[in-house]
Amino acid sequence: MKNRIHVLRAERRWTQAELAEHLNVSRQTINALETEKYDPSLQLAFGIARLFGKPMEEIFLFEADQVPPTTEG
Amino acid sequence: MNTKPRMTPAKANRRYQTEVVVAMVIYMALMAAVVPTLKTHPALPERVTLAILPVLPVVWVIWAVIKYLGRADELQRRVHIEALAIAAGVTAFLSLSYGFLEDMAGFPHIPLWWVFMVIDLVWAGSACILWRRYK
Repeated sequence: MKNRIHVLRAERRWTQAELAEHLNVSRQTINALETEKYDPSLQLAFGIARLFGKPMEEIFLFEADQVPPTTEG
Repeated sequence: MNTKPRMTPAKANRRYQTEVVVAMVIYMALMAAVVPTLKTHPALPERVTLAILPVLPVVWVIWAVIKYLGRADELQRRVHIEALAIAAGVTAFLSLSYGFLEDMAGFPHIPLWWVFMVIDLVWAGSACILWRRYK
C-alpha cells in the first residue's frame, strides 16, 4: 500500500528515530513503512493518522488493483 | 487498557541483549566449572544437580525472549514469530530424520542438547533473512 509518511515526516523535520519514538515503534519499522514494504496494523495506522492530524485516507493510498474484489449482484 | 508505561522497542532491545549476554556468561562459567568436575569425579552423588545447573541461566534467556516479544513492536514481533515457526519446523524435521537414521541406519548418536543449538541457529538465521524483506 502506498503512503505519505515520508513526506509528512519531512514536513515536520523529524528523523526516522524521532517519528519512531512518537509512535513507540522501532526505527526499522518506520523505515519499512516509508519504503512501503510493510503495511501497519489498524492500531498503528490510526496512531500515525492521529499524530499527523490527518484522516487515514490522506496518508494511506489504496490503488485500484489493491481493492479486494466485490461480489456483484 | 494497559496503563503501565511501555518500554520503547529500542530500550526493550537493549535490555534483552544485556540479559542474554549476562545469562550466557553465567552459562559458560557454570559449564567451565561443572564439566571438568563431573569428568574427574564421575561418582559424585550430586551428579544430577550439577549436570542440570547450567540450564538455570537458559531459563533466564527464555524468560528474556518472552519479555522481548511482549515489548517489541508489531513488525519485530512478526519477524521473530515467523522465524521461530521456521526454526521449530526445521528442527522438528531434522530431529525426526536423524532419529530414523540413528535407529534404523546405524548413524552415530547425537546428544539431545543439539536440538537447542539447532533451533537457536535456525531462528537467528531466519530472522536475518526475513528482515531483509523489510529493508
